[in-house]
Amino acid sequence: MTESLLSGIRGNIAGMAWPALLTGPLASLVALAGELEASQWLPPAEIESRQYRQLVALAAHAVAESPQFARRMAEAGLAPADLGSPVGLRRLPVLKRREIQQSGASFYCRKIPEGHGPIRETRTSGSTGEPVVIRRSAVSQLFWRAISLRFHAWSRRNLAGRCTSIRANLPGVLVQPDWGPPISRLFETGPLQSIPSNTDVPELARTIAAFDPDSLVIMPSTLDALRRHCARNGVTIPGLRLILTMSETLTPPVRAGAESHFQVRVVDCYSSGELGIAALQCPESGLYHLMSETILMELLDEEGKPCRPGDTGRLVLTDLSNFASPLIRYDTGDYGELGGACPCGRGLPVLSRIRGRVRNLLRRPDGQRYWPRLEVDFYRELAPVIEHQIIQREADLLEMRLVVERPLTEKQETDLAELLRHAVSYPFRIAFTYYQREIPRGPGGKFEEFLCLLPDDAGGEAGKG
Amino acid sequence: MAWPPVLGAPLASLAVLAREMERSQWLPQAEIEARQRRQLVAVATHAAAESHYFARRLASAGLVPSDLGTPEGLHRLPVLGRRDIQQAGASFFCRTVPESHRPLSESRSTGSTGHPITVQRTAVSQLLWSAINLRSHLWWGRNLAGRCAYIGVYLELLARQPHWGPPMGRLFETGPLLGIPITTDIAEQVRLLAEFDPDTLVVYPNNLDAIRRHCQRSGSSLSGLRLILTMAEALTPEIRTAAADFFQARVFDCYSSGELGVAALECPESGLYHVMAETVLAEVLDEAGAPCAPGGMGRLVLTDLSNFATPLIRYEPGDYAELAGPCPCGRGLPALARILGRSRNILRLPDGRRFWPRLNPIRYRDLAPIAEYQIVQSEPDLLEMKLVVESPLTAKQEADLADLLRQAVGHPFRIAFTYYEGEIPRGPGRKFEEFLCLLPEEGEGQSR
Repeated sequence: MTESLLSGIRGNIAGMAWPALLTGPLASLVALAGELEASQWLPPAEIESRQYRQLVALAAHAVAESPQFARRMAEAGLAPADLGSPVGLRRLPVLKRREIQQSGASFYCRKIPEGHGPIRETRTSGSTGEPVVIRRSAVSQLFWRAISLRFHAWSRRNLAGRCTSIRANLPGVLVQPDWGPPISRLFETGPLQSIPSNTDVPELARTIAAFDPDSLVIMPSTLDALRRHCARNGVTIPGLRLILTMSETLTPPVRAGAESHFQVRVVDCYSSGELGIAALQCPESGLYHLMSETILMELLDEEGKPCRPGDTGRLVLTDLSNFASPLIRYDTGDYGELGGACPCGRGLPVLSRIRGRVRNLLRRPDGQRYWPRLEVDFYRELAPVIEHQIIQREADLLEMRLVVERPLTEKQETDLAELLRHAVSYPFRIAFTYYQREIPRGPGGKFEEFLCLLPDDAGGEAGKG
Repeated sequence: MAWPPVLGAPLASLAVLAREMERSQWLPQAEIEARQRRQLVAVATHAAAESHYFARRLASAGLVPSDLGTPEGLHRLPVLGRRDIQQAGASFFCRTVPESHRPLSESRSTGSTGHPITVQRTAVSQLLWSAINLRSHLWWGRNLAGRCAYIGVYLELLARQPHWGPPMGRLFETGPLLGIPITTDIAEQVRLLAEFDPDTLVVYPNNLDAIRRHCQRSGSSLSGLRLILTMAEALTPEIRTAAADFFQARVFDCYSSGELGVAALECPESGLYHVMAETVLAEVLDEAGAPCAPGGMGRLVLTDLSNFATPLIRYEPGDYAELAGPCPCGRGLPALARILGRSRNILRLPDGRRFWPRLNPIRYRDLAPIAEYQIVQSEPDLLEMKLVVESPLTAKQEADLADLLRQAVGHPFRIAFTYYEGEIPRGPGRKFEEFLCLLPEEGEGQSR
């Protein structure tokens, strides 16, 4: 399917109308996308053997360049070559977000191989509430882009169509004539509308309906709120053909609600700031395929043993292409259900469900509901916060649950409260609750960074996973 | 990165183009032609602005670049001969070349007249050349991990490498490579080849024939040889069949030149020659300059669609070809049934008739101990038979050979004999032509 997408690329060499010639980073991207087109059909055993070969190459680099990883390996009595098999890899204890946070600079590789640079930093708040900074190499970003191309192909997206994207950290609504690079350099794309994710739902619905997109990129909880608003108020988006969801768990009710109301396909992906897109929904079966060319997946039960198809377990992922931050056996904090072979014939491993990562909408006393921007990236600039969770218990009260390195001063509390009020755009009362080691997890061990515990007046079950 | 491969700029460009060409070869012929016309207008627009010579050519024909976007418009542009390029000098080349097409390289192409022409080729030309090279590997089922030997024209010393070198050696695990200078004595070539035991041999047709004959005479064999790739000279059916039978190997040919790179590759299914339409637009024209129909034989006129440094637009390299209909393989790339070499390889009868002579060389050795031959028409009614022989010929043998040749060409020419020690002298670029007409003619041909 990527093949049919790639057949439409345009080149970037002056004067060459045909054939499409590409140079520079775009050439690397399309070459890799072409490679991924072939690799997805390899037999599972072949994919696994290539993954472990790549893992050994990565581990050999990381042992030499990351003091933290060298320590992890030494403590487990392992050499890089030992990671060349599932059994060897399991001897390495999993890596928690907090370990990354606590390792500081010693986590990262001091040097990266020639050709992997430059490095960019991604700050991720994560669904488990512990912010970390991941350095991503140019190669790892290249994979991200190539997999985005695969996402376009698998979802059979109309690139020439109008697209609306709901995004965090935007100052306001933006409309651009195309989807932006790299996709707009390779294809003639339609226009793009970007809307801040903390936009009030009625306003969101109005803005989207006015633009009338062909495809909509949105988080599941926002999608559900949008769908309910549209249903209640008769708002229609007549041109909509495809909804792409990401960043949160897409629950079956949210998917079914959107598909039946908007009469469109909903295609989901599993992504994170640390790892990029780790899994995509299969265009044929609807199951999730791991992006094995860059992510090695393990699904572990409570005892740390590998799950069998049908079992639910912790998702432990290894980024095979990031030579700047060794995310090797990284515990994502998410849960998934292992699938069997996919009927599509692709050799990429399968998850039948991805659980966890549900966030709720904030509800303001004036009735506005939206996805809150919590500005968690700045907490650590104000106070020694290790973990956070925001709970809306009452209509005008937010509870800030914290694990801290040392007690906060009054000034630090005031600063945090002000930051939070500013971030969510409403003068809530803020209460602080402190925990010793970690904030208690909900049922099934799941953690949600923001949780609204108010009863839902619309009778829905927004955001419950 | 052990897997999957992540490629930096030049190799990534090649990999992307190769994939693109995997697809484009299957486009319908009409679609290919439409894309070629669009690209031709782009190259002509650039050339009209940057090459004084091309601007003059267009203006003299009363044309603007967009006129070349149709077959009728293109036909109104007079063809460009090798001599035109020689005479145009620096005004022929584009003054500026888009940055993304740089750097430039020079390709000198030898001519039979001893007047080489120099063509500037761009990084884009080079990229397309490499992609076509990759295509040839795929088409001909070449074993990249195998041992490859080539007889090199520009090689001065024996070359041995553990792999094929860039770009193939960077993209694939390739086997070892042996390069033998074409000036090496045939017996020594055979000895080196037998010692190396190649899987693939890249060679000029007449050199191949000499190797085959030597092996046959001396009882040597190249037992590992599976694939023979020929280029640069016309591959006659006799040479092809003899080599395929003797070595029990597949033989594939390509049509290339220093000016245009590889312009056509032999189809792996049909044996026809597919024009590399992604970079070359080919016309086959009859004596009146009108396009030939499939089955028709005519002058080959080529346009390089991707060279933004040297406008080779409607360039006549001096070769003749027979246009074929659609190829049974299903590829949309135009097909040529035969490429017949240069006009200098055409026999001219005193009454003005012209044709490619059948020389019937298979029978020469039945009549006399001939090691090598070449037939040269130096006067309208005289054919000179240049020979290397194993022992001096008798008068009877000379008379029999002369009779056989007269019969083969269908005219009672006078026949003269000239004998050489070792080998018959090669032309520029070490190319060998079994028949050469030296009578003066307009727009003389050149190298292949």
